Amino acid sequence: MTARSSILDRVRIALANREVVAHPGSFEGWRPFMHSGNPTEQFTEMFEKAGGEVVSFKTQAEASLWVRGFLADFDSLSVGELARGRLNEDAEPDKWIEETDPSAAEAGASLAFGAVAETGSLIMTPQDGRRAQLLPPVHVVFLDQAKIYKGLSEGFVALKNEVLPGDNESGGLPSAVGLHSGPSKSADIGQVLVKGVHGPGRVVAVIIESA
Amino acid sequence: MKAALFATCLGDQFYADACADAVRLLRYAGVDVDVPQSQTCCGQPAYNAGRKPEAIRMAYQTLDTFDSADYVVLPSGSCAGMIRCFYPDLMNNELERAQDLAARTYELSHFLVEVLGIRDLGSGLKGKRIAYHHSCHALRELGVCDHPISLLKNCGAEVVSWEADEECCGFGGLFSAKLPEVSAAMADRKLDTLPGVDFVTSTDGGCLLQLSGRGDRHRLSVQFRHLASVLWEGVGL
Amino acid sequence: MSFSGPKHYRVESAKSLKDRPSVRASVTSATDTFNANRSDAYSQIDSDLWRDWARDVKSHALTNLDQYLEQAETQLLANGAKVHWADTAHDALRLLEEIVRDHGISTAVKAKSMLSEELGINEHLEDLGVHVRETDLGEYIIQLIGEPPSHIVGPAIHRSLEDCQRLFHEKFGTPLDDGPDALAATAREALREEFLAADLGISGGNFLVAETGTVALIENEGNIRLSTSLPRVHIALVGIEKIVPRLEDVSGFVQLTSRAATGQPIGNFFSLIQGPKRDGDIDGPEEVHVILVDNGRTRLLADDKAWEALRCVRCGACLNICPVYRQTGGHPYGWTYSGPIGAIIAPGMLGIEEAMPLPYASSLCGACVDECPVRIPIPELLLHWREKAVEKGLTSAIESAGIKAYTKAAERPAIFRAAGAMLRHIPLEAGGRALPILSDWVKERSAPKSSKKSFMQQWKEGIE
Ligand code: SF4
Repeated sequence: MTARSSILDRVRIALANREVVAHPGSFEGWRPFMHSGNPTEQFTEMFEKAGGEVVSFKTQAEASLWVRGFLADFDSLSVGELARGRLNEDAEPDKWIEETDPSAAEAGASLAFGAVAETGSLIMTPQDGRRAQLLPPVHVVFLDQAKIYKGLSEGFVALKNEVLPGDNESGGLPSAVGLHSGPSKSADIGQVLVKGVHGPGRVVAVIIESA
Repeated sequence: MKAALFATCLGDQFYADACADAVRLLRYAGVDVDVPQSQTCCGQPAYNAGRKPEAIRMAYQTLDTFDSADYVVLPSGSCAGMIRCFYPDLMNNELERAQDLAARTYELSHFLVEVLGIRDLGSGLKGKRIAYHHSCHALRELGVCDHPISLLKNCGAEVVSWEADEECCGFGGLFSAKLPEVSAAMADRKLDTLPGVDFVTSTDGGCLLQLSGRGDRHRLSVQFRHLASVLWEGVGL
Repeated sequence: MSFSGPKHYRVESAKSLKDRPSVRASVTSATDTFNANRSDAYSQIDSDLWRDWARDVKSHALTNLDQYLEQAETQLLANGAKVHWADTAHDALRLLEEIVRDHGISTAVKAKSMLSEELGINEHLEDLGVHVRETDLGEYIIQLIGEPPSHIVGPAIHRSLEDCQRLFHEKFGTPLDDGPDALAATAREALREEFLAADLGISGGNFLVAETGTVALIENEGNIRLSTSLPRVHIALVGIEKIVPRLEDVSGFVQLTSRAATGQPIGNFFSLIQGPKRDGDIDGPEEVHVILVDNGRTRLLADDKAWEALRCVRCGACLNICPVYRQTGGHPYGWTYSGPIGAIIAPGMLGIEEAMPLPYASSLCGACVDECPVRIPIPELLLHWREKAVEKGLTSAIESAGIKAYTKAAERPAIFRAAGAMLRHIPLEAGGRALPILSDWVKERSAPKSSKKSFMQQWKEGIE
């Protein structure tokens, strides 16, 4: 007998006389996403509370300009696959950007799939590149305001419904999704809070208001 | 109003004077107090040791003893919790009687406030600084939280805040003898955080035995007194 | 270093209290912080309703576990992941060994996983010649020290800042007065190299979503994301009880679990892993293996009462609030899961004989049940296992005889009172030492003082 069938058999025997509990359905009580009418405000509040930074611009061009200025302070950069287009918009191409591998970069730029207001989370997908999202100590993330979802479940639904660029499985989730809700943290040393333990110690969400 | 006092096994032997004060307090509040002579033990020590059959026998003994009482009042949150929360489960072939007893059973301060509607007993505790220890079972099984504290305050006492007031003292019946080292450390956590007070009080003799026994080892001068006696002093007669 | 089993609980807890008072201090202060954060986080949400919901979702999943496990498997396979099943720890280690050999793996990074502790993964991999590195900062610290975790969420909470300063000084030559930031930077640098070099990443799984075949992982440091993103092979060890039916359920569970564990609205990083790297992904592991582990879980599921403990999401709230756990941390419990949850799953997973005396390592204060996000009736289950222990004759004969005699007396009020009167005349402080149960009591405390006259006597004589 395989382990699979022996485990499933034991489960069935254990459950033979057990009353089946019904699934309660979606959670109907108060949830943080009901807290404010404005998801952007709530996202900002939550993300900042967790130690993240938020800046906001009317247009993509303004946002790109700001990010380029921000990144100019660092000696080495890595840019996510999807973020690259956003970064260079309106800029004279290749004037400033020199990319390195994320493992050596001082800062990284990414494009979020979207964000969740109730938890203050950026939704990151592998089409942009996971290493660029995780390895550089400083992480700048473009975020379209239209894609800030009120609740986590809405964010999941959006992920499932969207055919992501480069993703050949429509309707499913990407291979891996990361929710980033502020900088990397730990209190494992003497219960003192430390930032930037493994992931980025500084995360800046750059909101673009117009689509 | 008539009520029966259940002194409990521990109260009868170790907190006899507090039980007597409970009688005085109830009488002062206009209650006709009876002490049924067939009372012994509620069965909690056996129940907590995992010995249901023995606990059930003691539960029946208690049920028979207090069957006809209008109210059963105990100077113990723990034993009152045993009757209120666990008797119905233990005596399922006498479920109605057990539920009925459970509904009539109260810890002393709970009874004074909830049933008798008493707020002010007197002013006999003026100027006293008191720390109140929440007995786990009074707090979590019975929901007795503000009742004793407001009575103490209304008698003029200052009930000082105590970081660990809701933490278990480490008594736990047999637990204190089975794992005495951890149990003692739990008491120490209470004593280490204890603010400067005239005395410590609680609804439960078990907790007080534990805290005073450990306090004595550390040669603490603070007194540990049963709530019934403190409230009787609060009446100030 | 690994655990030696629960049976030494009393000796080990006494030793910890006596020989290492700093453990008690560190654990008390860390759990105080956890408790304050949790109660704050609970107060911001409708935590009662939310916990009722979570209890029901988990109970639903567990009472349909076979179907959901099959569904999860089907989905994972469709996602391109590989699925394995392990009856026992031994089976899980063998599966791991096969994967390691097939891929010629020589270095592994590990993200914190209590299941991997339970299975003894590290020792086994080291025996196979694989270099294994714990990457959660707390796990890293205790791996360097060579001790098992003391808490299911904060493995190193029993260690003070000074302990860490000394450790890093010895291992890396850092100055003894390096603060937490500097120490963390040292660890980051050392671990970064290991992340980049590792062939294999090993993780646990907080939830396994049947609907989407998702392994969901909550963390704060980013080491789980790195361990599951960088190496070419990822192995997720998942207990079969981790099932939740729908992706939408996870949106509730990640928030509730984070609030219960650390008081955060959500962990800083939340990973949803469906499978290996696809076309169009820039990076990610080439293979994802999910090992579904039983190792005593179906045994616990078979218990009519204690199966409810399988709802546990390992948030650690019951440990943090437990006044027994708080005195010593987790080590004296002698196995991976300590505190109240450890005490109620040990008898089901290991067998009651192996789990003694853990069901008795509680004063039944009930503080835990008010905090548990999935409403496991912990005190009730402790009593349940105590009953089983008595049935199996695992408690002391003296205690058994004592309670029987006591019960007999309690049924005869006259005898009960006569016995009480007798007891009152024994000088307890001295005489107590000779009596079986009292002797343990007076070891740590002064003997109780009997009243001069029993209450019943006073009543008979009339109370003024
Ligand atoms: S039993 Fe409840 S409180 Fe304890 S770790 Fe599990 S989920 Fe958390």
